[in-house]
Order: sequence, then structure tokens, then C-alpha cells
Amino acid sequence: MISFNAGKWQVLEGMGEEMLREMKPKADKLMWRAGTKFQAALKRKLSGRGSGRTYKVSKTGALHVASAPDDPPAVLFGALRNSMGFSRPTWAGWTVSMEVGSGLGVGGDGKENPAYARRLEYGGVSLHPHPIRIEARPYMAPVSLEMEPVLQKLFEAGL
Amino acid sequence: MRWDDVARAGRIAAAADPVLAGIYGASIRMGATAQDFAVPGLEYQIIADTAGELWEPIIVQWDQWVSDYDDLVASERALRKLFDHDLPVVIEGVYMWSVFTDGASLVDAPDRAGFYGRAVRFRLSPIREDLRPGRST
Repeated sequence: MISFNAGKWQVLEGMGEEMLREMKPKADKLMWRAGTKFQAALKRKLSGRGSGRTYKVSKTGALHVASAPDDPPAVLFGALRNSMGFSRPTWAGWTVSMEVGSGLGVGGDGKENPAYARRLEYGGVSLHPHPIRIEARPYMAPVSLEMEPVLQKLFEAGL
Repeated sequence: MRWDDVARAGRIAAAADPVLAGIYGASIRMGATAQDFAVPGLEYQIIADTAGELWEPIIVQWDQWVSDYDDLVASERALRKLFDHDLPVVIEGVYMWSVFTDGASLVDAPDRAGFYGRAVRFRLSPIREDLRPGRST
């Protein structure tokens, strides 16, 4: 019989903490693997060739085929791709979380250009020299959808 | 493939909403590069789609272009009321999960631009096409 007096609750709480202590290293390891996989998928997504407008790059004079609207950004200098990293796992009680994206410490170069990264993901308007509509070239949303089943399998197998 | 069903349901639901119709009038449409950039205007686009064992999650982005801040707030409230639900809903005949995922500004300096632009995304997950009632694989 389960007794709901204070003493029993303390025992249950103690058990929970013990379980959490045992699970934590395993879960941490899984999160690192998940972060690495997610980051690799993002870098792959940002490594494609464009199928949009062709123009001459002013710095180098080389021809560059830009990405078409709705396609992920094409590589020009690789700055966005190199900036993709992930944060260390963060614990809040029983929940562990991690951020993946531009400018994050592990695996990326730590350089963040939020306006550029956001404009490619969502689209937007550039005001100079005159308002120009920039269509979205989503890369985060498609990768998160692709990675969902992969990460689910990883966590199911790992725990 | 369900993104076309979801796009159609979203377009009809938005056009039938009195708040959105009041702000945008007939300027509710699928975003396309060839179209002129118009304020006010409400454009939607399919950002990504995939399929799991049961559901086909589709991310739809709505770009809201307005010249008045209050219109922006009213527009986003109306969109969230239409497409952000805790339980599955039927939108224009399509049974699906529909939740808000995220939003972002589309204009770096709205004051200088003279208009506001904000994107909001919803994740709409109808049942897989081959599992729809009346269909067989």
C-alpha cells in the first residue's frame, strides 16, 4: 500500500534524485550526439549549389549562382555554414535542452550575424539603396523536420 | 502529399476571417517572386514538409505587411486564433494539428521603412494522404 505521509514522499523524492543522477551522464552524451547530428545536417543543407540568379562576386570576380527563393542558401564564402554550432546541454530539473544554430560555441566558429541568418531563413526587406523584397531561403525549418525522426530514434535507442 | 490541402484550407480560412479581411481586403495570396510587394498584404508560403508514420507535418509561413502597428497586432492575433490550437481541429474540411511555432521581423528598421513586416509560422499536421478515410494504399 502506498502511504502518502510526508516520510514516504521524501523517499520517493530521494529515489527520483538518484535516478536522475544515474540518467544524467547518459542523457548528456545523447544530447551531444544529437547536437552533432543536427549541426552536421545544417551544414549539409548549407553546402548545396544554387539554382537561382548568376552574378559576378565583386571581391573575387568569380561567377556565383545564388539560391532560388524557397531553396536553402547557396554557399558563397561559407560564413553562415561555418557559424553553425550548438550549445552545451542545459538541465532544468528533469528536462535537458540544447540550442543549435548560428553563432553557437560547439563546432561552429562562434561568429553570428543574426540579421543575415534571419533574413535568409524568413525572408525580409532590405532598405538600401531602395526597398527590395528578399524571399525566404529556409534552412532551419526543413532541417528540424528532417531531424525529428532521426533524433527520436536516437533517444529511444539510447535511453 | 497534403501541403496543397493545407495551403487551400489556410487561404480560405484567412480570407473568411473578418479581422484579416478588414486589414488586407483581397490582398491575401500565396507568396511568389513575380508578384509586386504590396502593403497591406498577407502572403503565405510552404516552408517545409515531411511525412511520419501517421501525420504529414507542414510548416506554413505567413508574411504580414502593414503600415500600422495596431493592424500588425490585430492581424497576428487573428492568425493565431485561426491556426494555434492545443488539440486537433478541422480547418476548411482538413482535420489536423495546428500550432504556432515561431515568428520574426521582416524589416530591420520599420520606422525608416514606413511599414511593418512580420512573419509567423505554424506547423500544420494533417493525417497522411494514404490514411485518409475512404482511401486505400
